[in-house]
Amino acid sequence: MLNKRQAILLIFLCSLSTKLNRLPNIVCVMAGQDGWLILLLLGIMDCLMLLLALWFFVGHNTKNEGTFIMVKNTAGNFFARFLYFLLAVYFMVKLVLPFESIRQLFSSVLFDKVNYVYFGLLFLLVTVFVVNRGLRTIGREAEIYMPLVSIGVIGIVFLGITSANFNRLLPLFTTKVNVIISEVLKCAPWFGDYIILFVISGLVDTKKGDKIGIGMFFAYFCAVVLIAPLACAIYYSLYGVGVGYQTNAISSITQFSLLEFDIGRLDYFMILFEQISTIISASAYLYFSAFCFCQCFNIKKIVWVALVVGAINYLLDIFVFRNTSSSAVSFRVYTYIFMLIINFGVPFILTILSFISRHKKKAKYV
Amino acid sequence: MFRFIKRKGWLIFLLAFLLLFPPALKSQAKLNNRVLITGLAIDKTESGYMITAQVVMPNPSSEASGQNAAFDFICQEGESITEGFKKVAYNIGEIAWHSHANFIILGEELIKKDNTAEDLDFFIRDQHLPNSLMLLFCKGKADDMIRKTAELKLSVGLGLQKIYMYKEESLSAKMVPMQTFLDNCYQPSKTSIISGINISFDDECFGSSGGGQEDGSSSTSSSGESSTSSSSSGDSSSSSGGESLSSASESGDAAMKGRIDYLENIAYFKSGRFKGTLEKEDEIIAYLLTQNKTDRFDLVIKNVNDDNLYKNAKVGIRVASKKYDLKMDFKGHKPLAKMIITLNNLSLLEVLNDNGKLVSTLLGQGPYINETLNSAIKKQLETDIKEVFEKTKKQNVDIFNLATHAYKYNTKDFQSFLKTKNNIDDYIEDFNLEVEVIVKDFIK
Repeated sequence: MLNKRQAILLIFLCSLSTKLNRLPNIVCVMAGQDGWLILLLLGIMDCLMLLLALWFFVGHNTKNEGTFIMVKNTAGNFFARFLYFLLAVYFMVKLVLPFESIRQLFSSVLFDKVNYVYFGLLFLLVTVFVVNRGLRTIGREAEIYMPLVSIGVIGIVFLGITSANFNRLLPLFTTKVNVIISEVLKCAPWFGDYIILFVISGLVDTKKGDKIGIGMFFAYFCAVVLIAPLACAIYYSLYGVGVGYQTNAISSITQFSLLEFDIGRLDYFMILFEQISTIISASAYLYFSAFCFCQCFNIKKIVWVALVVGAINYLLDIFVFRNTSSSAVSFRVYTYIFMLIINFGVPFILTILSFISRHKKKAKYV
Repeated sequence: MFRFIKRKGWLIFLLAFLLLFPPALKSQAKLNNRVLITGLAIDKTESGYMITAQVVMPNPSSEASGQNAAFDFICQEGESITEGFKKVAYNIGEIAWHSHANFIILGEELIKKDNTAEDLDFFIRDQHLPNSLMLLFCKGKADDMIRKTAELKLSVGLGLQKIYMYKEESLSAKMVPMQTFLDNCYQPSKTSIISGINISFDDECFGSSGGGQEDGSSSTSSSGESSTSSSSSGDSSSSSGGESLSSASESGDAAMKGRIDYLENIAYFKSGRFKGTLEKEDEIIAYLLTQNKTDRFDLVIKNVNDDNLYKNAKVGIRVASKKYDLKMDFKGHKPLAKMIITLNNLSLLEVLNDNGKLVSTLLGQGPYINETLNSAIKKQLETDIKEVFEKTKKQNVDIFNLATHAYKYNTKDFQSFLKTKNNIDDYIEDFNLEVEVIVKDFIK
């Protein structure tokens, strides 16, 4: 069981983790100086959906009324298992993002000769190990590493702002509407972390009167509406039309800021601190995917499922997404429709089921 | 024991994996074989391009502080920049690491004959070379100029980018990152600039100062240890033997002889093609005044005359705060750019009348800070800026990036104006410039 703070921090880290790596580059190449507006739009949409997720969470966050049990009681066993199968696949697809981020940072940016077959295997084993320790451990990790991640993110954004030329973002709204709509849809795989709230409903230990909503909303808002679009704006304002050549935004943002000092690239420490969130989010997504599979197929040992799911992702990383520059682009083309369906379909369905469930409860007591 | 292994099996397996299969076992060996490229020079030759790399070769006994490190220069020729660059990397004899490169010097022939933006395409695509590295140009061969950096103090020769950032603050140069140069080529104005570099030698200052040795600047020749600069003529199998041309000087005095000239030309380009240079001091300062973001700098105002205190005087002033504003006006028949430069918190430094006598203003600056001086400041700066604009306008170069500003802040008006042009590339011929210099708050 997670406690309230762990739940908030975990969702904050998951919502932030992969949005500062490849996403700004893809969006800015497609939409130019209006790329940050696309992230802002998506962030606002995510926040609105989060409100829905919070309403659901507050109503069903009990041991006896977790999401799976509620769906099973309301819509039947088969539907509950089907829904959880979809969620398992959803988190498995989402797991590709932190895997790719880590791969790109370590094998392309930091070190040019890392053999990712070994490195990726190590990363897989670490994430499976963390999953084996349970959700509480992942929550504890989020608590412990939050200060470091915060230092990393604040440091990166601050260093980027000091050398940014925001004039490059002008004039605004020059991108065609159809391009913006297309990009908003295709960036869906990077967003939608409020879905986690539906899955952890019933797994968070909250005391009576505990107001999780405000803290959760504020943290999520900071991540998707403030930090991600700001980082994208800084990224474009530094590189202008040459933004396409910098495939990893987070390591590029700070490049101009420390030129006059003799201290080398200290900014890489901040980048590594920020990447801790990617490792935690990888563990979290792997856990949720394995958890949903276990719920679906009644499997008791989550670690074996996590090993299989992780291995599939690792093999995809090695054999399918070999080229870190182009893999994110092709990944989103093939997955965005499915991710959109889950991002909007699942909250819609669960909201309806929640209404039915609450109505049934009221009728039962009456 | 068995229970311990069963419970901590994962951890043991992870640690074993980390220790037994690490690529990290090789990393120290790779680090030991690594040499840092800190600067590059590119020249155009008959058969292609010549790339010269400035590398730092630490001597075996050198410490982390950089003592006893030496410059070396590796030079290779290739039909393309890619080929030349690869040859340099291989002929170093070790693993070249160019993420520490902080400048590229472009030779005169290269910038005049080629499209510089296209030549730099290799460097912008290379993921190891930082896009923040500075561009410079020089008269003659860049290879000769980069070798002269060995005559500078080690920290200066290695860190030219920092030096130019300081020069930018004092209004004597502009540090132009490669990214900025290329980005500007694709903005509406299509105008980019590069600062020049010239290293000269001053024997009078440094000739006999035996005590001029500084840590890091005295370096022994590394002949026989490092790979050498051999200029092959484009063949793919270049030799790595031959004469050692390490410019690391053999005596500590020689390493201190070089100095970077204070004010050097600024080359301007349109769409990456060289168009001309700003050569006069007045032109350079007028341009930098509008483009550099520095606040504190010194200016020399010439030809200050009144009937009383100033007699064709040169007046040195220090400016503590500068504001630059550009407004576009499309209401009239032709677009009008209004440049407003506000100089704040000025202080008088010296007055040199034409009889060569420095006037002592120590006890009474007040009389010298008068309307004559204010008018002279305004007139000089306004005239110089307009001259730069008109000079470059004749070459169809928008030196002050007026089009980019208009596109960003007056998009509709600018687009409507362009629709009236037969050839939109010739827009600058219709632009006029008004300059207003406002002098505020002289500190007495």
